[in-house]
Amino acid sequence: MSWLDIDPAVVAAAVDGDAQALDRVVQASLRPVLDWCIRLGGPTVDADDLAHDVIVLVLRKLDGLRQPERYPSWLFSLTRREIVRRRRRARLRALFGGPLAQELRDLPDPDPGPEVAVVRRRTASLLTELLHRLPEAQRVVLVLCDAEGRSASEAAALLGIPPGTVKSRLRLGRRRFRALAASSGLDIEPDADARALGA
Amino acid sequence: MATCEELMREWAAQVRADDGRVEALRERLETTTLPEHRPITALAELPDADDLRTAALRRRLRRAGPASAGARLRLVGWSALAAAIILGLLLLRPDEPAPEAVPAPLAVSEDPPALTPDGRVPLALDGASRVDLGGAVTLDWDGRGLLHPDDGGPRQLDWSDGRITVDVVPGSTPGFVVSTVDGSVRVLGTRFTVTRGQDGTTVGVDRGRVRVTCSGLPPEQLGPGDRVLCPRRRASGLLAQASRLADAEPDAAVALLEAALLDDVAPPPIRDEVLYVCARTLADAGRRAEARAFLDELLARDASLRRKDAEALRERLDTP
Repeated sequence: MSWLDIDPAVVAAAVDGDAQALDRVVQASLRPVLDWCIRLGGPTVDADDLAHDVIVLVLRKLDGLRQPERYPSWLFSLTRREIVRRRRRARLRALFGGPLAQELRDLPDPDPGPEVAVVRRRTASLLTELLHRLPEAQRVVLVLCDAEGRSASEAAALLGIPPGTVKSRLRLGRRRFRALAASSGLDIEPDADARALGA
Repeated sequence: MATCEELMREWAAQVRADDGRVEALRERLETTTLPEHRPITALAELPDADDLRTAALRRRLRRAGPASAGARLRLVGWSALAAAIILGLLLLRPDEPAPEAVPAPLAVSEDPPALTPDGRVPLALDGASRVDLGGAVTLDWDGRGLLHPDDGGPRQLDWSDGRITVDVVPGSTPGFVVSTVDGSVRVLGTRFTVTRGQDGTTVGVDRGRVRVTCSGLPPEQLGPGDRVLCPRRRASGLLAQASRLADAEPDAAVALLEAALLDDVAPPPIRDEVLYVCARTLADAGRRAEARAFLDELLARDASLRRKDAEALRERLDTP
């Protein structure tokens, strides 16, 4: 079940204290929150811990949600804020020589072939590293639109910004990502501007 | 050759939460976070600290109830009586001899100064002065501080502002400790300098070893030639550092921000000011991603005084 399918009426009932509705809201939120924590948190953050804390925050703050139909964007902004905070703390710990990175772990792979699995795992690990070299705003739209397949207007609704801003961030993010990927030896199509210059 | 979108989709298929991980999260919420294995919805019933404080305040107010007119009159009567008694005592007090003049602060001292009744010796010397404490300890004093009496243990000096050099003959005294609000230095038979300035307290060692403890950090031993800075940790210190960031390295801005946010020592208006100034420094230095992250933090606060400035800076950063 996609979390976007949550009926605002169910969210409204959860806000009013209906225990069953709250359980449904939480159940539907677990996977997207965990996915966001894994994809946007990067290798320095323990995604499972972070997702746990975000869900606890959701349960504590849900009764302050005034517009139930905006639950998805509320959930995303809450998760994003926690991710930013946790990444900053991880940076500080690294500064003082504390334990730094948790390796990218447990990447599920539907293909049982060991060689393919290793290559895919390495590529995914490299892409994660490249993605986390992008500015946060560009990284978020790249994950929402390109990785999770949302349209610019859907991402804009989640982020609470105009679709035009999403598109410009996406364009900049893709350009930068392509440049990073190409310099890391990945076989990636150059962007339109580069193609035009090359032609 | 893959497009950016194809690569990202493939990445997303790999980097995702599988069913086991989602189930583990749910199980952790239900069994570990909640006592007695209550269902997940019980989490919402856990009050947070603010709710508890508000409820306690409400209960107190309810118990107290509105003050009656009689209670108010009684309060006024008792207050008037107390005022009359104090006034009467003041008027009937016998003439007292004029207080003796307080001795001026020591200018230069070669001998241990006399103790005040509370057991402390206030020393406020200006310029270059030397204080010799019985030959074992010599202080080159340039600033403000408070020297505690010799009680047989390590001699204590509270240093407020300026620079002091302490020279202790090894083995001649149980020890000497210089403390500032940023940390403390314990002498292990040595000569060292403590400077308290705008950025905090700097300790430099000329000879021997000292142990330095910056507030909130573990002790550290310094040897000859070593220096360490215990940064200011109070709100005013954070703000002072932020206001001087224009000439500083962006890394200093990040470190300062982390201190302001993690230590939680500054009240919200000062913390917001520090956040904004540091974000601006980072933006000016071209470190846009970090500047954005800190602006996000600032914009997440509804009542920030710097909200408009932060929004303007954010717009500037978002403009390609």
